[in-house]
Amino acid sequence: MPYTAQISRANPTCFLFLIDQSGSMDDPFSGTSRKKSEFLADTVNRSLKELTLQCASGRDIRDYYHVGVVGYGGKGVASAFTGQLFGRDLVPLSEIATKPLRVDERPQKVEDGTGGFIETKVKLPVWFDAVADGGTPMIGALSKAQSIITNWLSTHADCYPPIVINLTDGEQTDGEQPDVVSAADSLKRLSSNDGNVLLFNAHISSSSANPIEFPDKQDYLADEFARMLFEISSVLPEQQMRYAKERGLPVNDRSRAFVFNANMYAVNQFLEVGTKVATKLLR
Amino acid sequence: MQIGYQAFWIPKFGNAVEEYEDAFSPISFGEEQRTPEFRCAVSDGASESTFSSLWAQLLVHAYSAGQFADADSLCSILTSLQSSWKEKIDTTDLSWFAEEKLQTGAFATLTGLTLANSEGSRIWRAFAIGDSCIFHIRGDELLNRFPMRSAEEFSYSPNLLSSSNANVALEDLVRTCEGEWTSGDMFYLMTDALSQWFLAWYEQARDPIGWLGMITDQNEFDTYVEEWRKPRSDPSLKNDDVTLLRILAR
Repeated sequence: MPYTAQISRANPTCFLFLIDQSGSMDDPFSGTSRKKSEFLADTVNRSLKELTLQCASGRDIRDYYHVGVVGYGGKGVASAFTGQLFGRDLVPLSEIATKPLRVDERPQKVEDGTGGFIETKVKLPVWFDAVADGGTPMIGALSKAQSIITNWLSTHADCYPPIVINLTDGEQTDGEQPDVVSAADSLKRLSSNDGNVLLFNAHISSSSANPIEFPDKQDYLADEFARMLFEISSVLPEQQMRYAKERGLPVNDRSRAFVFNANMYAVNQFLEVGTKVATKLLR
Repeated sequence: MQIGYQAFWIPKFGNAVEEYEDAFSPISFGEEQRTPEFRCAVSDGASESTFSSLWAQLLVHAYSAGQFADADSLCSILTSLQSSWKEKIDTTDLSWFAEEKLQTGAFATLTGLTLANSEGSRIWRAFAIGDSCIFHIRGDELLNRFPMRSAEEFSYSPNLLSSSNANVALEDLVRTCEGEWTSGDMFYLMTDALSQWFLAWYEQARDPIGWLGMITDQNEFDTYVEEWRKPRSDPSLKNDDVTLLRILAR
């Protein structure tokens, strides 16, 4: 059965985030002053933090995952890491964990167990700051993803299939839609012995329309861009589908790894489904 | 009462020995020992949590030392066990992730067995939080299975005991059971991967009792476990830490 490989230090898998850093990401979410670019940076930081905590035990990090973040925007397509990780494609989580740009602290109230609250501090490691400038070379990003993943698979043939997560707020500017589809298809044709590479797509929106989460058909998708993103998104593997169901989402075995018009909450939920479920295979 | 005791263990395939997160007690019990009461336990530290093997070890040793046997007695010593766990951890210069993970704490299952022979009355008592199991065997017959009854009951989220949360309803987590034993009975304690294997093979009439009976030393245990968990389309045994205690009671 595909998508059942046991993830371990001897057999890690990888997550590759493709993040839209185009100028329009400077706009806020509808009804808020929160810029999409700042939210996206926060969200990717939080995902890396969560992945780190999943793999942390004692003083160590177990490298169940290698992670990459590719930014695409005015400066082209390149690794979005800066600082000590500058230019790196896929990095073992233990290295990511020890090389954030900085670790911010924020106050947090936690229950003290007797009905009251105590104020503690929560540590927020930061690897990415917001970037928003220029066009949207999504085809370039998908092609770069293909070369990074091809390289990974050449030395990890038995891995749980790599998961590529594309977060964008709009249409590509480096080609036509058929080119996007072709680049995505080339990426999804790559596979390990456990199955094909998975491509998740989240469309981050400034509009106030309701998000469409994990649809199983194109019928509710009014515009062409949405339909294209649906077409290039993988079907949710069973583990992720069951996890999404547990979270109360109306999914089935044809649901796609795709969210359209996502607001902040929908993006977070989408990323949880995409990145947390694999840990159940760790036990 | 005379007890013959053997313990076998192996870490998850692909992991180093230091990454083994099950625990068991006693570590050894000599060849055959006479004793009025015998206690043993296994625990499975959750790999997603931190310093979990330390927590698992504290729990099995506390049970074997007779510090608790049911929800009430566990309740009275839980905070002191949790303090012991915290005290044993060196917190100097912890990284941001180690510190944050420490706040969440460690989680583990615990299954314990007490055998007694008092004035001719031979009683066994069992304690369980989670899905590590006890199988009571007489000859080639499975007399009792506790707490899991079938292979399909196992899930990704068994009950676990926390090393940092004292406000927990133990009566919801703890299960207990008791019964009688006769001379020559055998008890097996095992953590979840091997327990699920045992019940699956039992349900399929593949004689897991016979197979376990063939294991006489650690080398044979390693060989059989590696064979059963070899990667294939449907391995008999999940890749996980494996712990097996065998108790022969006379």
